[in-house]
Amino acid sequence: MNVPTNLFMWIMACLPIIVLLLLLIKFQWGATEAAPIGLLITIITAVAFYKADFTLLASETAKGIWSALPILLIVWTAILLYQVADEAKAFLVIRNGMRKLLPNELLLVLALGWILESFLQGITGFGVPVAVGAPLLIGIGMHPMWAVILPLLGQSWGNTFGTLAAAWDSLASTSGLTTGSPEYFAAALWASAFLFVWDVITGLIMCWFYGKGAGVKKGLPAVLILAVIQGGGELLLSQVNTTLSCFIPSCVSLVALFLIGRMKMYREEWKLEDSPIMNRAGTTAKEEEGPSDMSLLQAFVPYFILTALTIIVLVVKPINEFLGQFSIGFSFAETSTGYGFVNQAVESFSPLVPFTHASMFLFLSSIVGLIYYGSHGWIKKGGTGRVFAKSVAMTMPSGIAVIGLVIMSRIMGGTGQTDVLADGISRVLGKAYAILSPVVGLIGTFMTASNMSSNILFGAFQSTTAGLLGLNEAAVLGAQTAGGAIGAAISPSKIILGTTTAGILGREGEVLKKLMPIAIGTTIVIGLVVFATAVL
Amino acid sequence: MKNSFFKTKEGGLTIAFIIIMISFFLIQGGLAAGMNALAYLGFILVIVSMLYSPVKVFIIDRKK
Repeated sequence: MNVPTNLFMWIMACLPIIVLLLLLIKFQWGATEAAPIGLLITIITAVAFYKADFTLLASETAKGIWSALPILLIVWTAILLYQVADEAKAFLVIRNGMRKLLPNELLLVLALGWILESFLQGITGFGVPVAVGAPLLIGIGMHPMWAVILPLLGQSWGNTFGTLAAAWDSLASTSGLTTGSPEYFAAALWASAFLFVWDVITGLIMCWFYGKGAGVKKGLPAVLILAVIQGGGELLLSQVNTTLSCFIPSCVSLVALFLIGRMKMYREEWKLEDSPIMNRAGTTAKEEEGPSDMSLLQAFVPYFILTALTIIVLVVKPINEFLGQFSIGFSFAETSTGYGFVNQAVESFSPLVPFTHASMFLFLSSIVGLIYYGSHGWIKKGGTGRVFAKSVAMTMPSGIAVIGLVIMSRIMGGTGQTDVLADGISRVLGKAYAILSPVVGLIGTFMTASNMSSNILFGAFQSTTAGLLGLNEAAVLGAQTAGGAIGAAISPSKIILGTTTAGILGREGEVLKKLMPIAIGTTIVIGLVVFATAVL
Repeated sequence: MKNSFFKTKEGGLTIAFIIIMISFFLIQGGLAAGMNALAYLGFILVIVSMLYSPVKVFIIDRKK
């Protein structure tokens, strides 16, 4: 490509992201309103400064809509599953049942804000843990905003090796790592080591949010045990089988949680009355009860179905291969900008495999849940219609925002703006670029809501830059994907999933404000570690 | 019931989403058949639909 990499072009490439951040954080706009403005600015910079023609813009827009569709399907079906359980008042039963099993409120918060999310991230991902976790936390009396923040943190460590390592595989393929090679395992080691640290941080931060020093003191043993199982387990398994390196430890941690709940220091009823994240007034004022004849296990039936379906379809190879042969994808012709930045023609762009897609598991679980709850009389007359109508109404605002953000990232990528952004940073900074290497991964996920997309966008770039600058390539790639995973905690599209199911759509900026310092701070520390490997 | 839903913001966004999906096929069909005008129309429809929410929230609703 001949796109000039100078300060002006770099600022122009940055402009859509800066405006998006300003609108979300400074002006407190909702993502449904901010994303279209970011998109509009991207289009203007693409045409005015990056010499994009309308054919390229139309092509990238179509690719963006198609890429957003699988995310929207997950949003809708996750909300559908939530609405089914909500209509049957199952969350009230789950809340009361979990309270009995885990009388220590902090442990209960960790269970529903971290461990459950890790488990869901291990199998489904794509924002499902956030969409499902937020209402459960509200159910135990948490303020809605915090009920969004905790799942965002809780799911993030599992983004690279979760969803059966989809994001990791994409990094390996785009950066040219041969599966099973020493470089492959070295990069996996760096990635899982960074994520281990992030996992410990997320657990401790949750305790801090719950009760500052007292919360950390009470939660420290549980956090350490659970983080060692999750992050430590992932670290070990990443050297054996990357596909299952998140899934297995997160299953083990779910079981370990209930064993921890029986430990002397956690088995008694305990809570901090003045916890800033809990809504004490709200829960005592309307302590609604669920159906008296619904047990905790019965309340969880749709989630059991979801888990079973996911494991069967994703892990049993013959079933996966059979269902995976049905796919839908569209071809796109080659396009290029006036600067000669080329988007290669594709036969089948980002094919959607409906029967192995997470939305299919969510949809089937919702239907089975509806039938099961209905057969017990827990779904009232007209309930089915209400469930579907509410799910569509709740999906649309977030759906439009997700489409806008994905189109924006496609146009930025397709016109060379993303490359200029990253290239400019590496040219100016030299070896100090190592510090920013995880930030690039974080920005990728921030824009696309997907660690996998971030790795696809920047994997090759990171690998090449590391080679050019003489950096430790394995560490840079590990930092790229770890930064991408951390970025999943602050991605507007993921935040919207939580604010939607928590019923606080439009407060994305507040959530972002709380999470940004933690995410960026940790990412820079990771960068400093990578820098140290280059200079020491 | 149907009329009242489509008068809400969620209803408007549902219509915008439907237009975006139709536009996707217009762009796809237009590019595949070499009918660029059709693809450009689809592209413009996507942008207009996307702008529904900020226009409604910050212009139409504020005037009310």
